Amino acid sequence: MPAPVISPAEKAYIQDGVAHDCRADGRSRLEYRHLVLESGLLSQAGGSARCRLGETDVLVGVKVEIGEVEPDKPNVGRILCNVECAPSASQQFEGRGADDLNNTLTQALDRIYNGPQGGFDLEKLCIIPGQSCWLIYIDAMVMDYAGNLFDTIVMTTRAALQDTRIPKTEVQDLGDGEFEFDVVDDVEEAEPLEGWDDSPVVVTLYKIGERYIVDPTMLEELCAQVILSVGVNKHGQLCGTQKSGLGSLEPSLLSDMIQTATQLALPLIDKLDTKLHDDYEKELDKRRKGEHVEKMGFFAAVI
Amino acid sequence: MLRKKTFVKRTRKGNVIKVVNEHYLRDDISCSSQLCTKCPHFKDPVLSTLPRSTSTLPNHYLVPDTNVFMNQLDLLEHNAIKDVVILETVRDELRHLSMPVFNRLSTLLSDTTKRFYLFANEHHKDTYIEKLHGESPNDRNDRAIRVSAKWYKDHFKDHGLQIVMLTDDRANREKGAAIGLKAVSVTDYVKGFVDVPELADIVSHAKDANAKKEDIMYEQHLSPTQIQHGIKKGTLFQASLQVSTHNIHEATVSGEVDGEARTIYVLGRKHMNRSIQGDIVALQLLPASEWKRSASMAMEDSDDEEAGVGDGTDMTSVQDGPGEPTAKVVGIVRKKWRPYCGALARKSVHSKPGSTAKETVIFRTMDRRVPPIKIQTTQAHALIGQRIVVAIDSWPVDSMLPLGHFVKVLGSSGDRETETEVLLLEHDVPYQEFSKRVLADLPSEGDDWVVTDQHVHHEKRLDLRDRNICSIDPPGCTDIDDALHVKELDNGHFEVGVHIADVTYFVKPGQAMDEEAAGRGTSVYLVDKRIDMLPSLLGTNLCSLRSNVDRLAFSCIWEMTEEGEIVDVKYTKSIIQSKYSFTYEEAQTRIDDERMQDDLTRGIRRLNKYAKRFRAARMARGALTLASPEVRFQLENDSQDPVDVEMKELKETNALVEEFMLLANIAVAEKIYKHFRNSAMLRRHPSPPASNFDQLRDVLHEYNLDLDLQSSKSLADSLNLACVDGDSYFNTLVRIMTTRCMMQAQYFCSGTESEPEFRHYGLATPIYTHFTSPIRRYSDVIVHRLLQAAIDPDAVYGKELTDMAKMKDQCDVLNHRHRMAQMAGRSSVELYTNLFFRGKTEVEMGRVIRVLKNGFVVLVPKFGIEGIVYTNAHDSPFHLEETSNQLVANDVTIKIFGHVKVQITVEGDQDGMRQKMKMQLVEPVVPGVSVQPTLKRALPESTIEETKKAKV
Repeated sequence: MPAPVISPAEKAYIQDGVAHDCRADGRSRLEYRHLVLESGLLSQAGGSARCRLGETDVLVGVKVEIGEVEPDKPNVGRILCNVECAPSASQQFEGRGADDLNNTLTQALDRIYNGPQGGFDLEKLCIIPGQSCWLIYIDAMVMDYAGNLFDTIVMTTRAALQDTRIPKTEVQDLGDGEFEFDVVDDVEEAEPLEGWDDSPVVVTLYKIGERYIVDPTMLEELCAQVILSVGVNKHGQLCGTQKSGLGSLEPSLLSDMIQTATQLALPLIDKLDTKLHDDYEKELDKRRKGEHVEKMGFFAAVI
Repeated sequence: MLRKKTFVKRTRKGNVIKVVNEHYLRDDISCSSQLCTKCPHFKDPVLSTLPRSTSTLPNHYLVPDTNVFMNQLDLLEHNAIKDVVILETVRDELRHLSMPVFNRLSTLLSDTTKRFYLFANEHHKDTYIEKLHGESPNDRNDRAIRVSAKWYKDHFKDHGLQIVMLTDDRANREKGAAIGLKAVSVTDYVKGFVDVPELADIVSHAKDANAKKEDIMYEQHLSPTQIQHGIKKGTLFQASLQVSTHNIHEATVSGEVDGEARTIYVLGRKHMNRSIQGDIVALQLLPASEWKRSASMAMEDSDDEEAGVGDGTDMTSVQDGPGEPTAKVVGIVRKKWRPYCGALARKSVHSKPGSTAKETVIFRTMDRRVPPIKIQTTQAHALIGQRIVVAIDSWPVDSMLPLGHFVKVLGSSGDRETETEVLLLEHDVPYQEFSKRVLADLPSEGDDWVVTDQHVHHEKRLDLRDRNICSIDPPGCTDIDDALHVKELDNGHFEVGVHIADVTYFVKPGQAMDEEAAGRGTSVYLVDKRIDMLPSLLGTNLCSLRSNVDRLAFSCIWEMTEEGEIVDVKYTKSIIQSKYSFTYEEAQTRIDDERMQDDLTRGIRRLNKYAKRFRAARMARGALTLASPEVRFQLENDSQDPVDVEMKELKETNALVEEFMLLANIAVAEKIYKHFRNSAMLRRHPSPPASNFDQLRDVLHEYNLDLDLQSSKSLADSLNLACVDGDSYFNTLVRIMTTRCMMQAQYFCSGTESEPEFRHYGLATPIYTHFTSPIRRYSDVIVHRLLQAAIDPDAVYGKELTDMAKMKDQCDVLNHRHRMAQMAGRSSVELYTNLFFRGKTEVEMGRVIRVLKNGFVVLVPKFGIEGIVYTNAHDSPFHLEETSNQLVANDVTIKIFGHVKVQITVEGDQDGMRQKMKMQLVEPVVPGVSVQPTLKRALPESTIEETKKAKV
């Protein structure tokens, strides 16, 4: 696997650009690339979304299944994550080349959703305590990789969770403390996943030289000494941080970066939610009139 | 145009999957009217140019909604209803709601005279609609129906044709009217058919909201999930409900109590909880303290229409002793409702003759195990005395009886043709003529088919045409399945051959004829006719082993020593020529006539000698000789009316044929089981549970007799000992009653039972099958195929012989058909018995075979009939002594085996009911119960044994 490489000249050019607040593609340090987001494009999935941030392209499908509760947690459901980088996304993912990255991303995603910071009330995913619960499978597929992968994955996942509908269940009391449930076959009856809007987005800051940037391209990523991912929810609450990269951070810079991340996250969440909400309203409106709803699907990439 | 349809499905393992179907819309779907020139017609249009009009509506096409099909299918099947557009939406809904209805709809659609057209509205670009947000699937489908009806309306607006949407949903009618549709209810629609008044009766009354609200009479059934769970947990169990023929409020199911297979009773209407004969029900076992003894009550007809449900105990004798396991029905897993034959109860018709007002009347089913059905009719008076068919619509909790509707008239009751049709319908016997498709599978040569060189030289057939083969059958038999021969060999041994008609040469798997035969399962023998399993060209000609023509056969050939020891057996396809078709009587005469010394006769004598030897050996192994009171009618040639009745007589030659058939069947069973361990079709006869004999043994104890149930051998021995001096019929009677304690023999697939279970109890053989009558039994056809596959290494056979599940299903079908054929045969005998007794009054000696609380069952050996003598239910001088199982009135005791003299009459049609034989007690004389015989003929007074009661 050829590792991505960068020449000293390129590196110097990028570092200089960051220092002057004018990056190679003309953005400022805390500016995002163009974002395309659409949810509900996979009709077979419980929920789905696709996001294209610059050239980075992520598709997330959510599958809901019925499973048995774990004996030590008899009244909660589970969220299970999996991230996979398509070999076509980048040359370095060929063969088993993406395994490490897949594991890292899967674990990171898992940490976000399995815990109170994820925003979900896992007890609501329990159907019959001690017996059955919903399992939410989040499957993220990286279709194209051009930097800032994790932020994109989390954003897409959040949109997919917004789109997710859980089939309605009707629990029957059979007496003697025994319960059984039926699943309503009408998809219209299915209910949205509560708490999706409390789930965080992640803003990852990349320290290049003395400054940090958001939403790096692939080459910019290669120049970063320190990478700090910050999870923030719509209330501005910090939901988790993760530091990677070989460099070190001053405590003052750390708190400065967290603050910046929070400030960036709030308008981002707002924009995303507005977009998702508008799309949903438009769709509902069409369906009220009995009109056919077309999804852009993969044509969205062209726009 | 591409659309998607999405729904959530639960998998068998309990998980959920979201199913998304792609759905393509078209612009070339035709309206299929002969009027229309706009649509592309790829096929000839179905709907006529001039559909009918009614008194209220101009010429119109009909667009019914789903519920009309669910509830009023009989109406739509009526000949007056034509030119109907069936929407795809409706058909899809029906497929999910009810498979039987869906199948009937498919039949309707394929009937070209009905002019029903399936309009694919779900795929038409103008009539496809998406489900609105918040709209229920039902509302969406109703809207789809309206949209399509509207499309049709607009489509024909220039032709002056009306489109009528038929729906009983008022909201739907109103919404239809709002978009300019003509929408009517079924009742209103039918009113327009002035010329076809019976249509009004066919309209079903599934949900009659106006009916007076009776009190809730039954417990609500549990939901399917609750039932499933209960069965899984073991609190409930599932079984098929078998209602007693004597008492409609008494039923049994087989189940387990404490791990032991037991017969479990369901007593009283309330506990039966709206289940009907044959329903698969979920039951809950009652606590042992509530167990009852079987009521031993016979229900007379027509005494209970409006009686209360009771708590189920009033019908049963309450007593403290240990009862039988008793259960109650908590839900119905699968309803076995079907159209029922029967007649109106005259008493329930209250209107004046000639009235055409609608009234509710009671319909009584022929099947005594099915409760009366309430129906509404305007033609009650016209229907009295007719045999009619009625379907059940529903049985709500607040109705004592199920509600139904009239379907059709079969004919007047008492008419032989009608009654025969009724009994065929009631026993689910397919009696239609063979279809063209089936007949097309017959050899094209027809009657001229002959055995050719091809058969002789190229099919591995043994040429046995030189053997002295003969067949022995009842007189008039045309479907000769089997023939026999014996030949002395050079080594002093004998070659004995059993030759069975080679049906499988003509009937190949996958043919329409094969499917038809598999569905029919067996030929059905009625008193006056036979319903064939195979077309008669095969059954009575090409397969039938008639004398002096070459025929193909499947032969079992043994080499035996002089003493009947089997040295060798082989199986082969063969060509034979029977030299003579004997009747049992002719064969017997030949055996007995010393002067006859030809080869054929000597052969029969030898076979007879062997047969006696085999029989003796079989008896020694413990084979049972059982008896059943079988009779034969002498029919008058022209009218087919019975003129005399006699008991069937068995000759030695019957036994001869039987022995060799058993020999062949057992040999073949061993052979096919050896080759097909998992998928051989065999026949077994389970040992009867000891509890079946309790009552009989109790009675026999009084005669110091007992039945030893250790094995069939010990039972056979004790049956031989069960004699009473001076009572020659006593032993036969015991055997008849023993027969009724037996289990039914069944076909089964060898892979579904363990080897010890293969046993045939009655024949005392470890393995058995049916091989010898392929013309009249389908089981034998399968066995022939299995045997062929077993003996011929080159035989090509499909999965049908090795698939255990398929074989098991086939066994189930055959068992059902077999039972039904037996019962139809019995009903036919009963019918002829009734015809025989019509207008006669006979006084005969009879034997008591069962004592009930309010009567007793009498068997009249002379006619082989049995009937219930009712001891006047209300004010009976009799009372039942439970311990000794006797009816006692002053100094007269009625007990099992007792002699009585009864008067037999056939009650006419006074109640519009089935013709019923009535037995009344003549002797012993009991005031209030017995009658003076109204007969002129003098009676032999010899054999009446006084049954005075001994001092208790």
